[in-house]
Amino acid sequence: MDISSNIFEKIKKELKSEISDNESILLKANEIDLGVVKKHINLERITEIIDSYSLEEENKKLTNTIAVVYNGNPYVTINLCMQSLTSKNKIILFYDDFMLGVNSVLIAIIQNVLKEYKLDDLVLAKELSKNINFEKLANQLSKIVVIGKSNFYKKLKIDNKEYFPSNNAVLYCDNDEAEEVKNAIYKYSMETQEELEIVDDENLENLINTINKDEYINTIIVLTKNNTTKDIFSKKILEKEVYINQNPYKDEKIKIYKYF
Amino acid sequence: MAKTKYSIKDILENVGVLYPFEYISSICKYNAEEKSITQFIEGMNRIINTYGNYGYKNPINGISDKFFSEFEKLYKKNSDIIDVPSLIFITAIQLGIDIKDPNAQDSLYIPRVFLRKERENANEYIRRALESVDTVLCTNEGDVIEALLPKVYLNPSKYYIEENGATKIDNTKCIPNYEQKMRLLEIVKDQNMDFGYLLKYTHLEDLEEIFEYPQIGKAVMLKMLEKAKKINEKPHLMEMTDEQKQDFYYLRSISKDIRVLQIRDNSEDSPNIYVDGGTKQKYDVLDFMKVSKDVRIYLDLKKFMIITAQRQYERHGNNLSEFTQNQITELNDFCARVGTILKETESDDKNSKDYAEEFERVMKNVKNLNKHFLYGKYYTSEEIRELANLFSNGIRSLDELSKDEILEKICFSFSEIDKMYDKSPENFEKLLNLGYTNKDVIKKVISNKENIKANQLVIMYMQNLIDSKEFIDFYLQSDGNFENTRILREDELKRKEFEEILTEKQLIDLFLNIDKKEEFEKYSKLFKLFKIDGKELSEQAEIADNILEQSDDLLQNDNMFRLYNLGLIPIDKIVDYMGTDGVIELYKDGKLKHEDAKRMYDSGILTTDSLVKLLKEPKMEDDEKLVLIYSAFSEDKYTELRNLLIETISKIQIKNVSTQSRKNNNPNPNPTPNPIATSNRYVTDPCARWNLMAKFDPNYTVEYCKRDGHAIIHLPSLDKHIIEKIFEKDSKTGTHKWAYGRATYIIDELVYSEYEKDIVLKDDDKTEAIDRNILVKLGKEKEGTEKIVHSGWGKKMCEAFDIDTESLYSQEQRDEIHKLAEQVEKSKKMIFE
Repeated sequence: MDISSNIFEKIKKELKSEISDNESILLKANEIDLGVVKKHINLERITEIIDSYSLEEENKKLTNTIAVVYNGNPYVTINLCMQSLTSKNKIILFYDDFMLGVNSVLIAIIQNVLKEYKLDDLVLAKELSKNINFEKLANQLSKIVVIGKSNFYKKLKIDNKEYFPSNNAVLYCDNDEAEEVKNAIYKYSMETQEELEIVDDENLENLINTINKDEYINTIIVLTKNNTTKDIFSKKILEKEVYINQNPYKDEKIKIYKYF
Repeated sequence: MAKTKYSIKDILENVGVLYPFEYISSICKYNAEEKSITQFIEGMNRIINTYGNYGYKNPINGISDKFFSEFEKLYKKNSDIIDVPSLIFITAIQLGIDIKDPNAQDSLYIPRVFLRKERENANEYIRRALESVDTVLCTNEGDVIEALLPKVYLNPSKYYIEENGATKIDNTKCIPNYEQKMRLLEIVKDQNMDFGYLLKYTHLEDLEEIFEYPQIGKAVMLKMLEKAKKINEKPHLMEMTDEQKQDFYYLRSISKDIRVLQIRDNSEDSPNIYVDGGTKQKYDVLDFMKVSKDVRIYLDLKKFMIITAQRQYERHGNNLSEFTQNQITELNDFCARVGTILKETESDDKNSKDYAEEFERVMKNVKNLNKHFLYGKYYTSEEIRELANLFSNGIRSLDELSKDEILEKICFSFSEIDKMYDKSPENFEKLLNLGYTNKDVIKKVISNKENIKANQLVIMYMQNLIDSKEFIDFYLQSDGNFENTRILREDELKRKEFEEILTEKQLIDLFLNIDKKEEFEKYSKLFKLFKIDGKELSEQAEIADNILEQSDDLLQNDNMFRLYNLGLIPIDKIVDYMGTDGVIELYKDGKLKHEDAKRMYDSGILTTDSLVKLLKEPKMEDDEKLVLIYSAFSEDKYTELRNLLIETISKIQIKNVSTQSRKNNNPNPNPTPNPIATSNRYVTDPCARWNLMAKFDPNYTVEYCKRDGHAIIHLPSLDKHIIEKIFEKDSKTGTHKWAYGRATYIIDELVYSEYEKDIVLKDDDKTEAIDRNILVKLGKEKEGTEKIVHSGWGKKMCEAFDIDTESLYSQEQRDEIHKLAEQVEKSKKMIFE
């Protein structure tokens, strides 16, 4: 199995065209999702994600098999698929039921396209269930990547595991006038299953220290009018996304990492 | 042309420094004492470590004079155990040198040991040799090694010696050459032995190796020939059982070494029938043993068996790394079989006793040898102890080895296990789980420990290393972890055993002894688990009576409440001895169990009036009252009562801005929002929260932190605590509102008791607030602590308690999604069609 630049570009083109051809199916699936989770799929965003990737190494051989456990966010799915192609790693996706409809259809599209290029087993996928013995499975894999599901990661008793946050956010608000915005963000996070904890600590130094030490958190939302507070957060929070009086969920710009 | 002769100096100068271990062991003779081999290898390692570490890829430049002289000294000291031809051959393979037979210009010598072990290397070596010489043919006709290369005849003489030449190597023994063998053949012929034709195909050197002295070997061979002749006069074959056939094949492989043992068939005049491996050839295992019976006192059994095992190896063609282990395993099996055959034929043997002892000794040695093979290579006794030390210190995991290797080869000593207990609980547990059997060692190890782990005690009990009484005694000194102890209750016999040993008297003796507080708590847990849990209320009441009979002091309110809180007496006993006031007091303090609160209300002991009266208590704040109401009466059927009780709270200032407004869009939310199914991800309203707690453990109790609005919910049946922020309290305005955004923490009992003082901030011994920084730290670092963020709270909580939740998608929705995914493929096909 070899993925040259030429083939990679063909796959990208094919994927975009398939997503466009299957738009009505994807939107139908999204309708089912909306009964469960209030999240509309943005197909243009998916196309943008596909376009953002290019092949890393022309002659690299496909060797590793990596399992990925995540909530099933379709934007993460397409990123994982593209990273699988660019890094030439086989992946097995274990997805939870977040946007199950769109995600299932998207995976079907991806697998269909890959099949044409005889890359059938590059991206395998299975819904997450309690019956899967990851400890046993880990012996046959290069590693297990866990995205966002921190408790799952913590309980996983293997050495070859790696964690990446996925919109794991903390919201700090000291502005009474922003109470409604805070509630709206909270409500949105509940409806879209984004992990959000609202904190009200009076000691900001302590709070920031705690956040900085917590690798499970990657997003901080601050609602404040106070310039000192703004300064403290923007300067002292390290290696995490800080949104001061901004909505991080706008435009589906989920923080994506290089997972493998 | 390749160099044809090598002295030891040549070899050492060219050999490079690092022989692989297998090679080193291979260059030692098989009859060498294990100790000598070990010493030789140790010496070699020492020299390598001190004077050279260059690797054979750069051998020529890599050897220092000092290395050479040291090595030579070592060689001289150990010359009796080094198999020189093997050393030469290894060197040749390592360096790509062809070794030519000095006796014959166009033949090759390959020490036999490497034909057995180094099949691939030997093939390669021969291939290279074929390229460099015109003819590769052994001049000693008839000595045929089975097809390494088709039609290539090799001299399989074990020793590379030229008797008449100038290159005889010191300290090696001479082996009869072809001419000598032919002379022997003539002797046999002179004696008119038909069987003598066999000699043409005899490897005399093997006989000499098998027998202690060469001269005996020759004598024995002649004697055996005589015997063989006699046997040949009898009907020669018998029907063989499967087992005998198996032995036959082993012996047939031996026959390459001891062909003289072959028993010919009727066509005795034709020499062709004796051709090695010929189809007409017949063997009789028992006849062989009869033949050998008279002479086997001379037989070196160890060599005999090892050679046999090697022949088996040849047949299987295993690779070098597996060879050592497989060889020994097969050797064990073979020894057992040979032992059986020998016993069957030795009854009239005057030396049978000595022989049996010798056999046992050899067996023991062989078995002992087996104990030294780990990770596919030989470990000295000292190295095994070093390895054991690594396991004891937790530097290496016992997962690396099999059960037999751990229990029969590593054989941990007391001190090693003692150290392992402290340094590597994982390895210690693994050792217990594998079925380590020495009770005395285990008891001795844990007897002098202060940090006994209850989970390990459970394994010890399950593995019969300690009995139930010892379990209880050790448990009182343990960390009190109850997680695995519950398993013991699943076996009714075990439960009864514990039920009989645990007594009300000991329980109360510990209860009343203020110095034994911790022991009491542990004992009470066991007592409750084995004697109370799962019993009918009437039986529980009977046990409670037995407990209360132990001392009048127990009837004091505080003692009664404490026994109730620990689940040792039911709420009915509080009612019996203290009336409704006792129940109200418990309720007020948040100590009345959820299930009991409902039962007391349903049975009329706790009345609406008494509850209203309690809630009018001026010293209680609204949030405290609300927690009391919701935590006890969250179910639907208490909606009316709940609303009535909430109305009695005079100055309600609770703001209800939670997501229930999202649910019903009611501008004037009812103080009691509708409960939401526990499977729903958006559980944030008070009733649903408490309903979910009750689902986890109906006996939960609640401790409320007045200062910051946290609740500590204790789930006694699950040994867990949940810390949940119930109210946001505004210290400036004095108002509070339902909290909904803070993460929930689920903490195991063991972790909670360890960190309780840090987590719960108390004023005047009353719970006031929670230090969330500690919670965050525990949630991140400590096993036994889970952080649950409110999006998807219900589902995540259920997952944490291992309760199955319904999928958010119905089966219909799933079917529909499946169809849509299928359509993707179909649409694709249609496009292509």
